[in-house]
Amino acid sequence: MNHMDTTIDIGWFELIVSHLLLIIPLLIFWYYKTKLLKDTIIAMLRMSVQLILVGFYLEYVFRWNNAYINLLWVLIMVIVSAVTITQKTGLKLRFFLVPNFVAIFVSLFVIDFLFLGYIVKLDYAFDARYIIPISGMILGNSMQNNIISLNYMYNDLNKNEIQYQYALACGASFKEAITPYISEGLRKSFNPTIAKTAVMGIISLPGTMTGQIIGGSSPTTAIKYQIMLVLMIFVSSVLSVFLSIVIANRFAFDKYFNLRKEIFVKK
Amino acid sequence: MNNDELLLSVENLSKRFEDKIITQQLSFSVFKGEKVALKGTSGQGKSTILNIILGFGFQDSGTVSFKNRTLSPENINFFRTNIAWLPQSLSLDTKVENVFTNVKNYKNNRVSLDKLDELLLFFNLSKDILKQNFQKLSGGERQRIGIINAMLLNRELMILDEPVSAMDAGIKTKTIDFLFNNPELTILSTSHDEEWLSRCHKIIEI
Repeated sequence: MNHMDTTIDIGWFELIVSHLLLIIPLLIFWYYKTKLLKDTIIAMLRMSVQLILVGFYLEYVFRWNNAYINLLWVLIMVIVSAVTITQKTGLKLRFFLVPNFVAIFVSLFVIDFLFLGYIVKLDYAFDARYIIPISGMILGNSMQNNIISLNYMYNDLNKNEIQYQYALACGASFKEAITPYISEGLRKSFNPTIAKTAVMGIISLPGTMTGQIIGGSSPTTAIKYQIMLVLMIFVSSVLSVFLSIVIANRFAFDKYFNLRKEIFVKK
Repeated sequence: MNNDELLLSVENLSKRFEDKIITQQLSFSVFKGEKVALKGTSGQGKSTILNIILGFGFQDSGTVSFKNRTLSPENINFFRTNIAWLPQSLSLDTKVENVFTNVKNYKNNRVSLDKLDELLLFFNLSKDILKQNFQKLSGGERQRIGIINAMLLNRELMILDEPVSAMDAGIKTKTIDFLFNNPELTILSTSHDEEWLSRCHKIIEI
């Protein structure tokens, strides 16, 4: 079969004019007094500007395709994602940035290495065309899981402190006492992911696959990548949630196993 | 039974929250078999002292020792595995039966549930209560479940924070008789209840 090897480009004029479509959601938001107008406009502008900048940047990164620059870019993505996760959970960067960073870094690189090295069998392991978008997909998709798990784990533990203390006073070890909170955090975070995974291909055609097909790949190649990515994202998110909780717990509790109140950002 | 055995000793304990003094230079001791109550005007003071003994809060100065071991990070597990605790407003988001099975399953515990049925019966609780969520129980039921759990834990010291405050008169008297007629039990409590206080060997004014 003869696929086009490039996608039809979108004109800059059309791209800018398309933003006018936002009038529809904005009108609806305005009509129902949602107060979402400002946030929507800022978010959409940020999205467009950020992506345009990244697009220009990646043009060069792909052209140079230098392993160090590629790795540096992935590292920046990991840092931004660790900062975002920590801020969204209402936890202090001082306590959680390092655990989150280490957890995300380790789980991302383990998975990148397996996926790109052993499965795709890249000749050049840090090929920008692969490592950057795939790392981005893994990070982007696991962020929500990290936020929900950490949020549940620490905020809920804080809210139900008496229940936790009662377990300790009844003879539970630290591990036994925190296990229900970790368990519930994992459940809250991964239940929706599991449900979404179960209907993939029926209700939604996932993003990577859609992109690849538009980009000219055959649907068979596209689904193989999609399947691998769903697997990798899942493994990586569970691993990073696990690691960040295990590492953060070393800092989040005092010597008497009390949850330290200073880990929370004061509201 | 040796009634002279010193179990708990609190020395020169001081604690303040910002400008509010909780306690100053408080000293008292609890010997085996004694029933002791902390008494004082309402507020967070008395519970705070009990929390300090279990390592859930910290004093500004003073020491706490249990069976000659000083409260410290090294000894905290010793404290928590030898003292049974009933906090003032215990709220557990789980089925009542899990409260007991958890206690049985913790690795550090040697707890048998053989006496559970007998205790439930004694405290006028039907077995159906095991299937209910703890949150759905009345205050008096929660307190009884907490006391039963403390009995099952079978520890050397019971720390009970307002244990009968939500109980009806009948069951309250029954509970008080049950605890105070047992010379083996050592109890440190807080209470506003006249009946409870009248049965205590020692009342410590805060």
